[in-house]
Amino acid sequence: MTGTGRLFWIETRRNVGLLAFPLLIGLAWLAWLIQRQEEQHTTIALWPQTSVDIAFAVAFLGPAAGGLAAWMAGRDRRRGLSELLKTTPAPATKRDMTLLAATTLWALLAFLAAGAYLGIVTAREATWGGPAWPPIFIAGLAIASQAAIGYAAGSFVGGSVPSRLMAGLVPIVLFFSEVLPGLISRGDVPLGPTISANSYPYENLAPWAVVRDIAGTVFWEPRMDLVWSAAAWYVGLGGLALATILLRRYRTSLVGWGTLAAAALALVVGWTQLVPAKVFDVPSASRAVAYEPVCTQDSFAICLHPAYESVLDDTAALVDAVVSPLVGLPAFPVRAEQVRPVLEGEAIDETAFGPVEASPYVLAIMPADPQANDGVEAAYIATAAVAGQTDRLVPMLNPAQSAIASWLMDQSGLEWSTAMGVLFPPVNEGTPIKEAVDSGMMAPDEADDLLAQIELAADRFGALTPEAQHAWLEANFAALRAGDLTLDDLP
Amino acid sequence: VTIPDPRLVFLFLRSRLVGVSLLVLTAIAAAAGFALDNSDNVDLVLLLRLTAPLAAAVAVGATVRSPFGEAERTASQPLPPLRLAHLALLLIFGVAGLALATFALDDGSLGMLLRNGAGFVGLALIGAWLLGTAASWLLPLAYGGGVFFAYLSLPPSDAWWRWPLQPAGDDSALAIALALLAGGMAIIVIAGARDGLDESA
Repeated sequence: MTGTGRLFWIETRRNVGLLAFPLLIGLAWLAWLIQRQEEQHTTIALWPQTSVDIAFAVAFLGPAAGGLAAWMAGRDRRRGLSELLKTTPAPATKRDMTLLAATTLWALLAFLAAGAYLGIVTAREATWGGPAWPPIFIAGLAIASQAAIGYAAGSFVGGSVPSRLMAGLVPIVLFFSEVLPGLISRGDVPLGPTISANSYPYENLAPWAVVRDIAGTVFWEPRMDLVWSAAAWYVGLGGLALATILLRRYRTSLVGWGTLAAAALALVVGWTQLVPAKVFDVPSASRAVAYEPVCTQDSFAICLHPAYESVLDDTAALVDAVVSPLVGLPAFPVRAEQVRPVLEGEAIDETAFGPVEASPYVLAIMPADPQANDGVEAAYIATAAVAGQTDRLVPMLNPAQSAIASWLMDQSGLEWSTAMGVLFPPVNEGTPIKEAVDSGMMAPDEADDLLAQIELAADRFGALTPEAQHAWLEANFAALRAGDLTLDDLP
Repeated sequence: VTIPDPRLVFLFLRSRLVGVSLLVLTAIAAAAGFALDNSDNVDLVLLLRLTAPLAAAVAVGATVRSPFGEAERTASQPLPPLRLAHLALLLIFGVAGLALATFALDDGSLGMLLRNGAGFVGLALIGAWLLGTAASWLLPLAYGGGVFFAYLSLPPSDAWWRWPLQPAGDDSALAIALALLAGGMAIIVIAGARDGLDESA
């Protein structure tokens, strides 16, 4: 083993990272706990989602690695070894780099160990695909760069208590700095005729946010354009810290100034590519993941992406329960399928947008989530079934469509009292009825009256014989779906 | 209980480098006041109301370590009154600093800063006892960071564990913060901080 190797081994064994290893694992677990509570997080084992879960640990491990590195940077001074170490033949920067590398190694090992657990769990449960490495790679890079920043900050302070304070303050500053870019908003951006979302132009500078955008989905490969830009950004930040460490010791070091220039260039490249972050993206066809849907045949064919095979039967049961009275009607789709979204991005709520470029012969559906309310999921299906799908997976209903959708829910036998709001018709071309009442746009009595009329119409329709219901639907379903009928047109 | 000699109190505070701590607390209060005064983004204001007390708490937690280790515990003079005096000085200074820095703001910032400061100082002191002063920041950072990311990811809620994000007038949040402060202070005043990671690396 070379001298450098031996020094690295000693620094690795005698490192605060070893003692803090269980705490770092705990922080990764905490990050995972928070990430899995995210609104769009499903309990189904999906590799892109697991990759983001693993990478999200950077939110805590990055600042913690910075704090530990700042602590280690002040070690020799705290121990009063600075003068003694000046007598050793090895250059001081070599000791710095070795110590920084050893500390970073422990943070990265904790990151990978915590991630390995998630990977094993997903490998046992997932029905399709494999890990998406780019977000994990970027998270690792961000942890390493924050460790370098922490070390650079820690190497500037002298004395015992200032070094102690620096080790505590560095993680707080790093935490603040990594959260801040995700909070700066620049107003609403329209996503469609009736939908808009807040724009956060700097969010890709935050590691915990960019890993979410990088990972892709089961339908789209990871975004490599973002991967290289984010890599440039974090290499630049880390390089800047390393240059600072070098130049602190040797002001005229060519390597130091060269590193500084290269880091500045990488930062500029990264910044220009990452800012502004898009609210949504239209993926290029080259990123499309090829797959063969898995299907089942009940009253009609119901197909899902193979990654969701574990919930195919549940989804089929839900779809079948709701739409079976409509199967075979003219203008009703011949199969239900989870189709590829045409847009991607955090702002793209899967219930609102995207997978509607299917042909009119396909009812676009979402897989049933075991943790979600069956009534709400069924209400989405009923809504799509009676109104068709244009720019939304879950379209807006008119009162007549709302009445028939309510009847479909009633006849399904599902408990759907919590999902009634999904079926309420909006007013003034898109304002949800509850919101309209709250904002004074609509009188409460007027809203109650409308909802009561819808309920009465649904009950009247439900009281018909199955033959009469089928006959009416046979004759009027196309017009109902086109939005041409009113409550007065219902039997 | 004997009243410690003023010179002993002075030396005790000096051993904890109280001057540096007060300087850091002043800088944190000034930075928080400036940033809050110039922020109109709701999320950013909330982040500042969380991170400023967090930084102040870390500054308090890092300075409770004894530079003399076991030798100090063998002294005839009881240490708890000295430790209490040290913490009380830092807390009073922190409260005064934040109050001065945010006196122009009437949006409830001061109440939240003080409440969160109390809770995070409690967590930092508990961390100093559990993990040692070198890692005392881990506990408040993990808790504060966790709560803030939960705020970004989950729908708003008044769950008790989200006490750092509740409005200034929330009594239960205040009670939790004060309980943490009392717990942390009791532990450190009675038992002192551990060296923990300090000894090994």
